[in-house]
Amino acid sequence: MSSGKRVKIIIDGREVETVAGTLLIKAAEDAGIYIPRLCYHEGLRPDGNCRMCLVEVEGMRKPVPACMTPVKEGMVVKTDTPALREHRKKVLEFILTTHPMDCPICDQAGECVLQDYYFTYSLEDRRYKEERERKPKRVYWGKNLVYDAERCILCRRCVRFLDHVTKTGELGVFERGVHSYIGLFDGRKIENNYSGNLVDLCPVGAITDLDFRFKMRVWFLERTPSVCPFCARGCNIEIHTNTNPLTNRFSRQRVFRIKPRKNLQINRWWICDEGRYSYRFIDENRILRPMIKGRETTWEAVSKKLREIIGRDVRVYLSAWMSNEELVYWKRLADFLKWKASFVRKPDGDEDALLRVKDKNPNTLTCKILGLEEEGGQEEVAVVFHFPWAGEKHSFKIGIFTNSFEGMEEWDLILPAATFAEKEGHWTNFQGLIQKFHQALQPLGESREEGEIGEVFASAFGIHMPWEREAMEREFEKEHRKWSGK
Amino acid sequence: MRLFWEAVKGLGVTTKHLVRNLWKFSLYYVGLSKDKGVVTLEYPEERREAFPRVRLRHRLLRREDGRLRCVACYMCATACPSQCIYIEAEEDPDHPLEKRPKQFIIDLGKCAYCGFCVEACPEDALRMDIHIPELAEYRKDNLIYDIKKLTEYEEGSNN
Repeated sequence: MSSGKRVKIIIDGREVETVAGTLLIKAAEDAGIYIPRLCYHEGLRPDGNCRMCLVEVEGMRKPVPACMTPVKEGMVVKTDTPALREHRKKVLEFILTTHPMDCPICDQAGECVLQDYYFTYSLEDRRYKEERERKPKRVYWGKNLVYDAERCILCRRCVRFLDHVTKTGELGVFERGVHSYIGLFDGRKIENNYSGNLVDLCPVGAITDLDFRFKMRVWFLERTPSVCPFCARGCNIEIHTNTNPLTNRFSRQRVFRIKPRKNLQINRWWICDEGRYSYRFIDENRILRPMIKGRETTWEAVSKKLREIIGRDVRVYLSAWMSNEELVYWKRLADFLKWKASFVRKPDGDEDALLRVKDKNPNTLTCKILGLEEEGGQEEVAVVFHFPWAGEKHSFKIGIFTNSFEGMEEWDLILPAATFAEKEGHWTNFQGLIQKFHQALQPLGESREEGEIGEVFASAFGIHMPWEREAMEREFEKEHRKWSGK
Repeated sequence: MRLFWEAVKGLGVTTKHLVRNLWKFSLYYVGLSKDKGVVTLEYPEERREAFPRVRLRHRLLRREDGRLRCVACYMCATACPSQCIYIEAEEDPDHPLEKRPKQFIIDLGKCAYCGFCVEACPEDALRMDIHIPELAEYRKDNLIYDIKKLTEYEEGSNN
């Protein structure tokens, strides 16, 4: 992996060039040849315990595990021979002797690797007629994890993750042979900030998520690529939603879970629990209609109310939760109206060595690139984004918020804003990488994205300044180039 | 003229059947024969026995310990072509089977009686064998069957 020397190997008759020392399974995957695996995961140290990835290498007497074999110049590998197919069937049959067939109950069904492999490689009846081994079910591992020892195939991905990635080591394998199970060491609970990743790592349904448990079947979920807003790292995530009233009839929940998306530059394969479980604000406690002094009103009445601030001394507090495009648009609007502009953000939180950074806002860097300062003022009117505390000192308060809070009746005007899942745009993470997040949902109620709200402001003042996302995006790219060239 | 003869011929056939069935039914009525002839079924009082294959109203079955067989796996809802099955799952805290339906609704107003749900069910929890054909209602709401309605059926109504 480190030497960087290029080698040529032949996989299934195809010549593949790769770096010396790469594992065979990885080299094959990069070349588009998928070798089945249960215990191997790109982000973990290889373990070679499941024997699913065995391949034939010319010159070796027996099949070798592709996840433990580094490539060597001139290797000739076969990944799909009748003997290997037979072998995979036997591996699956062996695992399935003790695996309970409770797919109807299991949350993993539909995205279960074992289920997929059974249909791809085996489809054989169980020959094992003895009583199945009974093991503890429903073991609570702390926080959001539930462990089912019967479903566990002992791939040790969870143990390796906690040993080598978070380096907390709460889990171990106990007992031997058919009795073995994964368990917590005495007096330990899994309480680290990356515990949710165990659910993603588990190839079967042995570790399930209490937060998602029995809420929705996975095949009803729509997956939208997005970016996590809960810190400046900007981890790549997938938002899993279901808004179909036929399959999601009883709950008012639209977002069901957040999953990480692989990005080797930023978050690799993981996300923290803070990002994973903080999605509820998208569906709960939302402001659905514009409000004047705490009373709901219409968007038509908003323009009338807005005209009251013409000619007055105004400060606009933009927020580090707005997208690049929105910040550029609002900055331009504020400059045009000769309003003073500054920005507000969530106070710093704790950080760790793996992913989480101190700054708990997705877009602080853009605010700084655009030359905004974190400051307050004594102006009469305040236009505040997302953080109500910013408007405290001002006498006429206009707020643009997503979620309701105490004391809304003190605000002269509150406009409902769309959350990050309900609009698209870009954020700049703390490294300066611009990342796009996609729209997963329609804005709830009458809420609108901040750019559209800006258009409402502009038209109320009789200014022609249409909200054009692409134009703003290009403009920010110019600013970003200027900044990175510095 | 030819048309007139054709009409007479047709009436002849009708008359033949009428007389034959009248004769057969008269013999049956006085107890001389077991053959009833072709007679209209006096429907509300009389009903024909349904074939076992017939698919009609759904019912939810229970396990021996009284718990619903259903584990809320959504297979029926997934298979349903008219998407008329709505399920909400919840944790069953005391039972070894961890999952149970909190709500289970079949909208018979939308149902096409195709039987895919019964085929899909991995737990044999759902059957369509209540052979009562009277399903008409004055209100569509009454055709929305919840767990209560799906589990309350007259014993023996399913042949």
